[in-house]
Amino acid sequence: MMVLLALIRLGDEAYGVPVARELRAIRGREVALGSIYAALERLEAKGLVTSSLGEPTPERGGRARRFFRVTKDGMRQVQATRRALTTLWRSLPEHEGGKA
Amino acid sequence: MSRNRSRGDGAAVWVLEHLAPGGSDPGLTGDVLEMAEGHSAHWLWGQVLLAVAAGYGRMLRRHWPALFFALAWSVSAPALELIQRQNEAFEARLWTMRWPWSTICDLGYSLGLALVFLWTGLVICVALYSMATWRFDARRLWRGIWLSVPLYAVALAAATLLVGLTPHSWIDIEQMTWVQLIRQPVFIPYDAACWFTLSIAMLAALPRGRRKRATPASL
Repeated sequence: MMVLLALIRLGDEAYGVPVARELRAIRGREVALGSIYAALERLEAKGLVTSSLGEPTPERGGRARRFFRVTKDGMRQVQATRRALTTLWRSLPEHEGGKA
Repeated sequence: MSRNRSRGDGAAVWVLEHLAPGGSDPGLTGDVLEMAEGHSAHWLWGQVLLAVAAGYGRMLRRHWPALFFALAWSVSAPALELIQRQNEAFEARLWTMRWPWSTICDLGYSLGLALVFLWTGLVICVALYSMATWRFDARRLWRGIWLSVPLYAVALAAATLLVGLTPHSWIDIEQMTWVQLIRQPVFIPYDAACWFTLSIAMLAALPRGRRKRATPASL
């Protein structure tokens, strides 16, 4: 879910490096690129994400960037999860000094 | 970036591109190199090793039925002894040859029998996979078959060495049924050699997964 949200936030510039930085900012610790690609591959297999290779660049040793985009199904999944989480949060009992 | 660091980077990239199962995604390699700027060689190697480990994790998740099939197939490998027992006259004829031909031919016969057993398992697994997914790659199947030869030779040598170095009581396999043969603990290293070879050969032979293409409607 965090990977999907990071892709939505990044829009057309979503490839491994900015996704890793975004996740590091959210989680507060380093995230391995290999783990991000493993998650993205699973999401792609489920049809929630699609990817395309850009042009190779010299600063990346001649390797192209793989850009990722969230599909309509992916967006629907994010909205459904958001609704479910909101319902769950609202159903939690309130504590003194603020909500639980 | 220092010269030593560049050399280290080259080695790390080589590991990522050659040791990750199915080869690394060029996007991932490029991302690792891009992020490596400003990080230590230690960080780079950490990323590379985690990416390779994640690749093997993905492979296990994707191909666990094939690996399980390889295990089930390999467990029955000791039953090959029964086939050899039925062809004792043929083996006896090999031993009438002059040394070293007698030994070479007998080894070749045993190895050939084991390889035919492995290839049968490999072909059955690829056939089942192809029927289930409607994907078949003859070149990858040949690659798996050829790869199994050196792999099995090395694995068999290691198993033989292990059995030779491990103390075990003498067993008479002459009167055993195939079920009794399979249950013998002394055959476990040979089963493991067979499983190791068959698993690697299967992963090399099974058609590669395709990236799911997005349709205009899904974007």
